[in-house]
Amino acid sequence: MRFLACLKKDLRLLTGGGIRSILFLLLPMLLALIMTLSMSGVASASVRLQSFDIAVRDEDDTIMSRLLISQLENVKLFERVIRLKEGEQPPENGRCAACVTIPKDFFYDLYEMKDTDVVISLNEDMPNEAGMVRSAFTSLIGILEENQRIYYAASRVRYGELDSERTRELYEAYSSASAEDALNRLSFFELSGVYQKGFDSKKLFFGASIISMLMMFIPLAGLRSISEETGSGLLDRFRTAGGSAWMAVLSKLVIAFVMTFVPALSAAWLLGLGNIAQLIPTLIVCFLLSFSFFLFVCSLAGRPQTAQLVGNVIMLIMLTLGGALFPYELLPAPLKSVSDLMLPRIILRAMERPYLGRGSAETLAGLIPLLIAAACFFIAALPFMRKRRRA
Amino acid sequence: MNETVLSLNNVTVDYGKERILDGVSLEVRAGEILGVRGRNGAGKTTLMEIMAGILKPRTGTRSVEPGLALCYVPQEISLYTSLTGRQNLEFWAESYGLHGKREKARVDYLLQLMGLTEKAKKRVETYSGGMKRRLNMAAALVVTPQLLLLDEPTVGADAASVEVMLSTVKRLAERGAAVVLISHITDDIEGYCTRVIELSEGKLKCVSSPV
Repeated sequence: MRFLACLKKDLRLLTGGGIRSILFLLLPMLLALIMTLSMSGVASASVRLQSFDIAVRDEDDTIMSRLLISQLENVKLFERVIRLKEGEQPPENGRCAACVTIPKDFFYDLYEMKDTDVVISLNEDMPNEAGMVRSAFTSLIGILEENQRIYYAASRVRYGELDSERTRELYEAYSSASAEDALNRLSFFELSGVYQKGFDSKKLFFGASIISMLMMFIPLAGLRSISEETGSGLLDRFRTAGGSAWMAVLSKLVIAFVMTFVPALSAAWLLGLGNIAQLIPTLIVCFLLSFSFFLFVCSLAGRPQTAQLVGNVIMLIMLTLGGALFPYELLPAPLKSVSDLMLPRIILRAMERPYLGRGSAETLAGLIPLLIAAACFFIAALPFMRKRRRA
Repeated sequence: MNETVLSLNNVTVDYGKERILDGVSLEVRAGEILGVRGRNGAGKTTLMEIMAGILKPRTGTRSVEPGLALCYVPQEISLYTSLTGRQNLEFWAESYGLHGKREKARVDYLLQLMGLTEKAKKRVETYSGGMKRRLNMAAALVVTPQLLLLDEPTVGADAASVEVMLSTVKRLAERGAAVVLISHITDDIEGYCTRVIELSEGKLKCVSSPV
């Protein structure tokens, strides 16, 4: 009963009711839309105009693999194709978007129609370019596989059962033709097309901006009353009524969670941002981090107006540095490293992960430091949630 | 003699190196209005917070009757200023377990008692100082208290509001509630008190006889 009273009160405090409530929920979305429309054009232009490097490690070391690599050098999108020796790592600095490893017997396995694939390590600092490389190679291998099937079938029809010598001859002839054909078909424009189909950066930018704003805007709005509650003795009064500070905070957490996740997940669904279930763990942890951080800020602030003002400034800085209001690609290099710590960037990267071929286990492991940070902010807020004492 | 609803025994409170309450012992009995006076910084608010159970003493004990309906009105206007007067009272009524028709009837009664019915749907931030004080007190009366603790209830209130609040306190005491009233302006409260104690430098200096 007491907790229900808190939920009702916190909902009223957060929304204010009527038109104010509707505007309250629409504001982050409108802001994100305006910023996306004004900024994403600049971001996309900068991304598309710059070519980048890729590194290639040739473990197959056959005529076909060497031919494939030399053909890659003709793709205008790739500034340089860096050939790596065995054990050599791709350069950490610079604009190397991905490292492609062609495994031993790759082409032969392909010809034999065995399951095989190139290994691609992607540079998370260049998600757009890395996504493009991944999409391009997925298509390339697809074309190669299809070609090999056709050649193999044609050979069987023409020559019947193949002995090993005949197989080797045909393999070399058809593999080089197949690699050439696949790369010719995969021009720059087709690469862009493949990329756009699988990885719409504009949509992700828009989605991440909306979700980031909701993740910060709503916990801050819900928590600013905590400074009123501690400063004016409301929390003490609530304790004498049988309540507790835990109950008061939990109520705000529940209301902020619902008010954040209903519009955030709706936006993700409406925008078609891939597998939403895969995003949920990241969003929950980001929400907890945002909530704990603003709990700390609001408990420290003393007055709701101060809490709101300080919170707004912090939120603006985080949204800008995190790439939600300003394209990450256009940030100066020193700010890019700070950007990785900002919630909008964390959310955007989580959205990009499925497109970059990252698994859930890796994503979940990356959330542990965020959970620890959330716990630290929460613990740091506790001493400030007591009323400032006077005699 | 009426029964004791709250007692403090040899209570000591320190903030850092400063001693705020020094061996305070007292009893509050049903039906009495106990006035606590003292200069600023004498330890009155700390004493009230010990009585309310918000603050734990460093040494000494506080005992209250089990299941006692305790209502506390802090010195600050402890209301949600962005909610309306009615919404504030609804929150406190629900916090004390009232709901449905009983809740509505009690809220309506308190708004009328404090002369706030017309302003019930306005946000508290639009209220005058006196209206806020009255609403602050109304929030403590959503249940009929057995022990009512009022910390400087008359500060910033106009004469009419003071009259409404103190006459309400008197009626509650006549019905058996124990009331503790804190004020640094003694004239305000002493006419209503059945007993007055004085705090000076954390010690209980003098206890006056009932008026």
